[in-house]
Amino acid sequence: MRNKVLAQSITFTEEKLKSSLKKIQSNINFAVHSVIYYPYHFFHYDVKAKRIFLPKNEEVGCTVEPVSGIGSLIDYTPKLSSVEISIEKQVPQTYTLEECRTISESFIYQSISLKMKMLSISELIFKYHEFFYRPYWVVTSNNPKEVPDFIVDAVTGQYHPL
Amino acid sequence: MNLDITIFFIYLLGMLAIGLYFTRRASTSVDHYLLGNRKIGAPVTAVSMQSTSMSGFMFMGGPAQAFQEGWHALWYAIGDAGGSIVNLSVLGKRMRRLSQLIGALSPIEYLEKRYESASVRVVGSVIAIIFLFAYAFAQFIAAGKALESLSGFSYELALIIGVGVIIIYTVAGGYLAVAVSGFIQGIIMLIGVTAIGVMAIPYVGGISGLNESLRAIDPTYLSIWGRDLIYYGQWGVILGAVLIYAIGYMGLPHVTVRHMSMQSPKTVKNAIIWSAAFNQLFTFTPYILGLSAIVLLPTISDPEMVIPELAYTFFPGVLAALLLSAIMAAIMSTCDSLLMQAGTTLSRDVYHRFINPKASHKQVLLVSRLCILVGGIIGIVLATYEPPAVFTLVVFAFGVLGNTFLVPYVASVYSKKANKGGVLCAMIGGAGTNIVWETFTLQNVTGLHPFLAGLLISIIGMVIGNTFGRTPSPPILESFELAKYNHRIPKNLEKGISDDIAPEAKNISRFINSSFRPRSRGEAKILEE
Repeated sequence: MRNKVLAQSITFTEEKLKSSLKKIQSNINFAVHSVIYYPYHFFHYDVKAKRIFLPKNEEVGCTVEPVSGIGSLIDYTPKLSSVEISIEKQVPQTYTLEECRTISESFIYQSISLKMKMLSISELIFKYHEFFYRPYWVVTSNNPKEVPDFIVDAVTGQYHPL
Repeated sequence: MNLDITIFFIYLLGMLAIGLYFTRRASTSVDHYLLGNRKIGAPVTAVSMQSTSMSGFMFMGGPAQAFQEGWHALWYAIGDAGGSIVNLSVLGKRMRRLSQLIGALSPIEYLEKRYESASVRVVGSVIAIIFLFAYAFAQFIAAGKALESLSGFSYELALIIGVGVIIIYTVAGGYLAVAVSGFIQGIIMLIGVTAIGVMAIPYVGGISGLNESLRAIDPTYLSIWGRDLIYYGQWGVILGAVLIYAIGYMGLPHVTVRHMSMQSPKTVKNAIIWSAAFNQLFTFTPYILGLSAIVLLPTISDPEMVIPELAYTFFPGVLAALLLSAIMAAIMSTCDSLLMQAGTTLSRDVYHRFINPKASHKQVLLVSRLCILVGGIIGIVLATYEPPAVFTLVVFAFGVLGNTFLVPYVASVYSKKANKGGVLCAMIGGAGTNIVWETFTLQNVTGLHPFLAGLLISIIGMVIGNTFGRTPSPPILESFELAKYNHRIPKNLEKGISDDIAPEAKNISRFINSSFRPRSRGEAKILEE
């Protein structure tokens, strides 16, 4: 069964994956099993704060992954397109939209408190939200004792063992 | 207003202008977020990180220690040079991974979640706040002294102006502004200190000539045991001096905020390596300059002013003022980072968690900033009326923080059995021992450096306390196992692992094992030529 969802496009293709892994570990053969789509809520906020000289309004973007409810700062607005994906390839969510929004506000305030240098109390204004999926390659090796299965972010190429 | 202080203010305005330019330029893109920006580049981030973390201690405390104790002071430099590397290779990776897996947003929250205890958060927060402020006070004193040297004002007036400028600088600077200006400051400091070294060290006849001169003044300056052989045979003191920076770094509360790149995959991984390399360039020269000052400036009244005095001795006033301005600006930068971390710990880990859980985000941020303000005022009062030496205060604050958090952080990723009982004993025992050792100067009686004494008690506390606590829960044990996987991954592959996607990896693994059946290995497309 398939449904239509917003997702990021695969920019780190199988070919790129292949050549990158070959460069890193030439003595191991890697195999791509499939693509898994991981859910994210993207929240866009305006931050209003009093600062000298610098722009008073700053935009902040944050994603919350609704599987374990963890926030991330992001650098750019994600580019999304509508695609049909098999439900079997979509990791199910455990957190609701409302819960994720609360998490995102808390996460942004904490990040501002640690990273933005301003003394006034900033106001966070919610602008919009999108729900999207991000593709991850599931990769295995011909030597699982030495190299465990891992995932590769199909947007950036970052990877992590499973 | 004299020329030097004018240069200082022009310098600050220049830094603000640079920050403003880069911030405005980055703000022109509507879909680009400054707060999550990681495209500054590894070297810029690294130099900026380093220049904002060394400052007051490195330019005033370290040289003063070498001036007073001779070559013995280099033990601290040896530990310092290795510290960031030890931190990177031993603890950093596992701890970052585990903090991502358990979803910790602050260092103290990390301990609470790993050890499943609110009391761990209370004890950790209280100690962190007090000693982060003490660390910041040392920067206040250094800022006051640097500005006093620049302006010719009295120390008290210079201190008030210096702290005032810190606050304005804090209000005016954005994140990117600080990173870019921090980079420029780092480069000026590196060139400046190297230039002073290039002038001063040949002037005293190189290292050999310096040693000859020191021998003539007092042969014990050359001893590893300190001037007048004050620590003769006390290996406990020597070991403590090396360890405080070599491994003390691991005890400083730090957890990185999780980032997710939407475009090119630039991570800060390389920045940390760059930072460690940059550290090597900075570490030894200030101490050698402190030793050179024994020969060049034997009558200097305040040994902490060695670098400013040498700058004015060897360079035209304008260049010396420029270097001092960079040092002063770096001190300010270190100071506001410390204050912000202390403020956030108080507001998030104490106020919001225990005092007012229903507080709005604005209230929490207000408490954080009020904490900075009150801490700043107390700092000015203390730094004016009873200023301790920068070196003494930094070593004390650093030592207590290290003794409190080192063993709990290391055990959190290396000991499966480590639990609430152990961590509370380790934190209280380690911090308490260091404070008692310093207060009653037990180093002289026992021959043990306060840091080493605190470390031993903290380890013993962890071992004994663990027998009284509960075994960690299954989810924590699962995350613990996931965080240590790397021993079976080839080095080349391990280097590129992105800890930011550790939670995704954990959840995708569960998803695959429970319901999703990917193609079999035979069906899979083999990626080989």
